[in-house]
Amino acid sequence: MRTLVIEDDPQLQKLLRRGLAEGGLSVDTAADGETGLHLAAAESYDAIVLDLMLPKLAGLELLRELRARGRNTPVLILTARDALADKIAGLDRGADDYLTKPFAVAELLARLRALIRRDHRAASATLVIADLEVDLAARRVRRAGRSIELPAKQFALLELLALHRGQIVTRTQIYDKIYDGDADTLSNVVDVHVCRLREAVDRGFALRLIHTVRGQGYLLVAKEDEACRCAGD
Amino acid sequence: MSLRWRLIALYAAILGAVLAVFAFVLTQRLHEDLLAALDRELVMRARALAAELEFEPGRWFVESSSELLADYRAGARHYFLAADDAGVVMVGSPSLPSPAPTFPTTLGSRELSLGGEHYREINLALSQPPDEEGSGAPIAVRVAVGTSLTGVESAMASMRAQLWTIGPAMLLLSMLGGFLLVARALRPIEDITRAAERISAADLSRRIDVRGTDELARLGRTLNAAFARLQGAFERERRFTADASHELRTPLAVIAGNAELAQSRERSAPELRELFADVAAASAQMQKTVEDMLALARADSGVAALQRQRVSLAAVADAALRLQRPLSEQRAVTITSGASDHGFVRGDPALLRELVVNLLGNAIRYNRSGGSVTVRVRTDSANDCVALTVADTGIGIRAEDLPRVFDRFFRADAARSRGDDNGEDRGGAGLGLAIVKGIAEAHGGRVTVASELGVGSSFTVTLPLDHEATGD
Repeated sequence: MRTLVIEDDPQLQKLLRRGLAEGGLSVDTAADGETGLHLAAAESYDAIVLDLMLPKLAGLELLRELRARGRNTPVLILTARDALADKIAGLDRGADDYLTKPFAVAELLARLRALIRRDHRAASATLVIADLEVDLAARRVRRAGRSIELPAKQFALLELLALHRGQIVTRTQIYDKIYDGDADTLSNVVDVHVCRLREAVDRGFALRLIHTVRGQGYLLVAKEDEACRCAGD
Repeated sequence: MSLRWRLIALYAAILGAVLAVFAFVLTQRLHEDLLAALDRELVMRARALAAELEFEPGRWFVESSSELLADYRAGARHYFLAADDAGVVMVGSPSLPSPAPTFPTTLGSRELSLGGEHYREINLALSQPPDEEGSGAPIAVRVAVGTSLTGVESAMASMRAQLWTIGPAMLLLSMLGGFLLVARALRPIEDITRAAERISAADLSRRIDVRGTDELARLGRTLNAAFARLQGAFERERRFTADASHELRTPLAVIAGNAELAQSRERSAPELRELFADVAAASAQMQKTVEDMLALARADSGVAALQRQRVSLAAVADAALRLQRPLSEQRAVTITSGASDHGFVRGDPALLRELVVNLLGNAIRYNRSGGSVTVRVRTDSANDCVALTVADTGIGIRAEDLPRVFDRFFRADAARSRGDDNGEDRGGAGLGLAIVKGIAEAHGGRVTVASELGVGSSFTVTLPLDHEATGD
């Protein structure tokens, strides 16, 4: 899941980058309102963490402008302002959640997960597809009651597919959200990761869950399909 | 008692007093006029009577055929007495009041009460020729003519009765008018009161509806101006609190967050060192903010708490310069200072040093590498002040930001992100210049700024010159 942190304090920005990354989110940062708005409007993020007191463009203005441009990315306001009026103003301008400083990183992560989940119409932190359980909070996967260990990137990939369960996720989306648009990442790395994930999740089960849609992308759904050979394996 | 009833009562009291004085003077004057008219009549009667007197030795009389006597018969309200020089009554009117009046011993007019009736009497000394031909030595005659005062008294009584009826009626009518006037005069005040009641701390943006240019409109405008100032003060207070909480809670969040991360999982020593380095940096930032806020509070508590002594601003500047030397060397900024004289002022040396340290700190931090800072102290005897100027060759301040640079927690956008391009800390929470302004104003001085973007800024602090013992 890809998030944008708009925060002008360099130390707090660093803390948020580290905390969110350790929580399994990929993080872009902006240190002022203008850059933040530009990134938020141009890129596709799953959630935005927004400070209110920002140079160049204040947080609330940024939010108004973002919503005016039709972007409804979930926004969590993270600010020192704890007055009721500020909270109301923030939420009414289109924020989805409001957290005041100082805050617990764990709470921020939980709230971001909730925002992302809600954005994907998931009722709880555990997504269930047939006998596959993906626990987004604990970052654990179980299939038919048995635990599956996944490296961070593969979990992120499974999370993305699970949140879009029943929908095709394009390779570009995966590339954007999991690899931060990292130029060094070759596009066939996506294929490799998908195949490894499939190995981990589907091997030994009659019902295959991860499917390839030729020329479009991938799909997580409880439906019979042909098997896939993993390149490089 | 409400203002309305107090005003009406006061109005009624004043009006009542005026009416009473008016009635008193009126009746008094009427009484005097009536008496004067009566006296004129009595004098005429006395002269007429004297002319009708006939003199025979040992006997004076008036011809019984004289028309004059008609006025003095029984039932008439007049009487007369004529006496000789010695005051012996020689003749009287056919009818006299009972008891009969005694002949007056003095000339002029008098009032007397006879049988329950009041009389006005005049007593004249005349001399009459003894016979009709007017020959012979004149005879001295004293004539006393009296007349009843009943007419005058009834006129006065009727006058008083009318005044007692009309007076209170006028008073009542006037009070009704006064009531209406007071109500009319107080209505705008009530409007203002109601409007002022609606203006509360929660909603200071409301204003009194002011119309016209009269005294009440002026009151309304004055109150509106006061409310505007109050709203401004509340707004500044609110902004200060919001800014202060931002500046303190952000490093607090960094400290708490890094501590949480340090505990969240097993971490390597370098990783932990990095986390704690951030904790230390945030603590330092918080400390600086807290110290700045305390300095500001000291400057605010201001004039009263100020320690005042004779201080050389040039010496203060030198001390500040030594304190900021390490920072200037670190940023490769050269400082040149020039003082034409001591620049004596009265003030608190520690606060004044803090003022210069803040100005120097800004001039160094917002300078370019290899730039320079010039500090000048100059006594301006003509204007009775000492001017301290700190000029830099730094990034400058945008014209639209200039009016706000002395605001608390204000950071020009270019500098707002504390880290500059090299990740270097510009330091401070945007309180430095507010402290400078606070200290300067607490000393009865002021601070001005001139700046050109990309060329540099120049801050000038002007403090009142200390004259005392200029010779040393």
